[in-house]
Amino acid sequence: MTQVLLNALVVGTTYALIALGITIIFSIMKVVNFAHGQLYMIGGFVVYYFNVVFGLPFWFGLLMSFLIVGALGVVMELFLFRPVMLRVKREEVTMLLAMGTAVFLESLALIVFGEKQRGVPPIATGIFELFGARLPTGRVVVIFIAAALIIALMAFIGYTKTGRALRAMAQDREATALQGVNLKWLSAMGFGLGTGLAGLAGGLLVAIFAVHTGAGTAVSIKAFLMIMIGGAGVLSGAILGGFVLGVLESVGYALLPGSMTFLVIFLIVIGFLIVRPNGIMGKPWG
Amino acid sequence: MAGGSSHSIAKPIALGVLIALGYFIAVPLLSGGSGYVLNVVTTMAAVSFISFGVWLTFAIGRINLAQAGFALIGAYVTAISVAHLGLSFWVALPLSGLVAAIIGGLIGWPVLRLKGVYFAMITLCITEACRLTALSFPGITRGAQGMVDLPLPGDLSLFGLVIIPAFEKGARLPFFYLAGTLMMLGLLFMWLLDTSRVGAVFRSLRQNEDLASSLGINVAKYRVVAFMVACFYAGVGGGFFAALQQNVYPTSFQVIDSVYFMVYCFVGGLEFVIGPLIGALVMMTSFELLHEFQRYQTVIYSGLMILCILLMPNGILSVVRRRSSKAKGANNA
Amino acid sequence: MLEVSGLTKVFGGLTAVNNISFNLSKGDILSIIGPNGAGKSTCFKLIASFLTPTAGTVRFNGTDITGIGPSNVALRGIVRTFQENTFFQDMSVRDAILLGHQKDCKASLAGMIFRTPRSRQDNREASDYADRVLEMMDMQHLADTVAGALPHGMLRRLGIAVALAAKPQLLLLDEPFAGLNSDETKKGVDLIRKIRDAGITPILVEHDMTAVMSVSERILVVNFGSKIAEGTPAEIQRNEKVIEAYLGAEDEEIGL
Repeated sequence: MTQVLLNALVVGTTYALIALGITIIFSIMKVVNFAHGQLYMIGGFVVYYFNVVFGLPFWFGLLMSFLIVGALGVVMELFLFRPVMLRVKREEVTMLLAMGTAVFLESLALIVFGEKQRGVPPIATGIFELFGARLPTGRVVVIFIAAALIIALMAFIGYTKTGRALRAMAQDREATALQGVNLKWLSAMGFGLGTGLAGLAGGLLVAIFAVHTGAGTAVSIKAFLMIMIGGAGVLSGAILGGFVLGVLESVGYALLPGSMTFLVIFLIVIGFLIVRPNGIMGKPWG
Repeated sequence: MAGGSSHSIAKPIALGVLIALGYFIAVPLLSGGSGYVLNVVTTMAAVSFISFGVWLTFAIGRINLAQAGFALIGAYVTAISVAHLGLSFWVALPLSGLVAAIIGGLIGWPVLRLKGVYFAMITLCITEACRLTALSFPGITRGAQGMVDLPLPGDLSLFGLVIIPAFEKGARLPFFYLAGTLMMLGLLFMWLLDTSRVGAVFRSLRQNEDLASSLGINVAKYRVVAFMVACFYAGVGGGFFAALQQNVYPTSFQVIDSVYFMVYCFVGGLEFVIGPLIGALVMMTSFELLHEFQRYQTVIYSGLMILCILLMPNGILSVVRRRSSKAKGANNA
Repeated sequence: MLEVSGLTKVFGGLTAVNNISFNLSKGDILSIIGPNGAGKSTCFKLIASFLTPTAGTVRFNGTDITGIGPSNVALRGIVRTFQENTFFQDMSVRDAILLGHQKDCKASLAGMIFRTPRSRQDNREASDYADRVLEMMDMQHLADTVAGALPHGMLRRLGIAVALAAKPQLLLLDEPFAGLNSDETKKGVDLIRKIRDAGITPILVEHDMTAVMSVSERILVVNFGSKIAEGTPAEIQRNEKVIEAYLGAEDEEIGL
């Protein structure tokens, strides 16, 4: 059981990063980023390229995955979502735009990166033991990096001027604009921060699992599960959702045959949403 | 709008029958016996049939990404009925719709309380759950290997009278006619529904469920009905594809298909009942035209889709309508 | 016709409505008034079954209708209007009013879709009734205007028209005068009398004291979720508790 929980911790911390990214985008733009999983996948490939193809250190690849995928997010916000949201009548359209972006990124990735599954050499060697459970040191390093990133992110949002402005914007765009904050850049930056986190998560997990171009949709679905569990638009809910999904998944894989795990998780989540339509931490919204 | 006296629906129906006849005669002639064209048109007709269901859920204000999941259910019901139970395809096809509708009703009842993005996300999960179900019970569905070599539809006879002859191996026309009939009937029913009082109720749900319920409209009942109709369309469409391809895999209908069904509705315009058909026509034709770009096909296609949203955020038909209303305005002035 | 007894609603420790009871007989114009946040609107939602009370019952024409759900309440003859601009954005005035007739349609779902004679009969009835409502509300000239394009004051009128189309016995009007100028308010007062004369009993939740005093036959004053007074307008104007409650509230509103 300790083993299962340790696995849950590994998955949970990185999942929390994914959920945090999608939540940031959702709370400032009211857009569910259906392309999140594809951005995660690109993050994985960025690390692979820098680390394996160019032979640079893993941490540098990780940094680049954040910067490159984050920049991609800024571009998406400026040239896709903003122009459409300015003119559009129905929320379906932005959702569709995100889906279209997902298909585009995935098919583009297939051309650029190819079909092969890619991984990186272990970032650390050795086995770490805790209460009788064994964990490769590489995974322990991943937990610590992910946890550090989450703490850094929460500190950034909680205590810096930009972070406070982001929170204010999530609450009330107009009031924030009145205070002389440049919404245009702030919102692009928030979007970039969100996608950058997806890139980071992808970059981190490539150290444990390999990545391939078709991985995106599954990751997006997991991200949705997490924010449905935790409550859309709430950062603490995203972290919680990440861990809950991590636990469910690890326990499921330990007890059930492969494809059953997520089937059961889906049923649990559907059942849960009937009782709590806004997730654990979510506020009611329409 | 809710008026609909008998002659106001008779005229459009007559016109529709004419167009249908034209379609059934002209397409096989124009295709010049090209199996490829006939295949594309058949697929297009069946896909727009499934998309009508998504359109209906849009009409009640829900973004439905479960359509591929229910199409998969329909496909498996048809496959299992004809392969394991030895039922006639002509029984299996409506049965697929019914099973999908019933499952849709059971899942829809609680899930339809969710709105907006939550509903979109949960229905996306339903599609994924359907795929995983197909994978998890290989005893019935043969898991990832899929159900292959399904028999072609046999003949449909009533009181010894053969109404539809058995489908022959390799023949494209029977499937073309079947898909075309489904599409026409599907459109006819959607149109009747949309222009009836029920359609007005559905639109009211999209705009304000609280207000509708304050008027004595049983909101929960109506939205489940809409969802069940949508699932019926998915089930029948899925069953059709099982027969057309003579196989079903857990990947026959996936999340991306749900997205495409939604795209067709959107491209055609969500305010018009014929929207899904127009959308499927435009999008699938352009996809086929991009065929020569080989491995760049999907990139260009999705790129065009994004461009389409950027330029016409409210769909193609909305542009047409804006033009015509502008022209009208000019005439009046 | 309406008996409310011991109505209580608690929202996570906060008592929004506390043990409110009152009776209403047919044809009386009753207003529920009180300072902001006093629980008037909650009270309203409880009667219309948009919320389920923590305790207490609502009886209508002798039957218990507590918490049976908004659409069931409407089917029994209680229809409410909404405070904010709650309307069918893309529907024309006439279509919205036609929709109000839905609950009186006798055709089945399939019948409506396939235009059975019964459903055509329904449509004719709905159409006739919609004409009458339009006339009563003096909105014939706006019949084909889309709700989203109506001026503010007209939206409120539309809300009442749609509610009337559902043929209520009891009409709950949620702040019908809010945001109207004095001229419009005067028309509104006349309209409410007209509605009463047509055999529909109105209940108002209102802020506008002058309008309430002139239109109501009975007034119920609520403060901090509890009923503090009930009586004729003249009685209420003299009631010490009411004056106190309103002065206190005014202090807050002005910011003293």
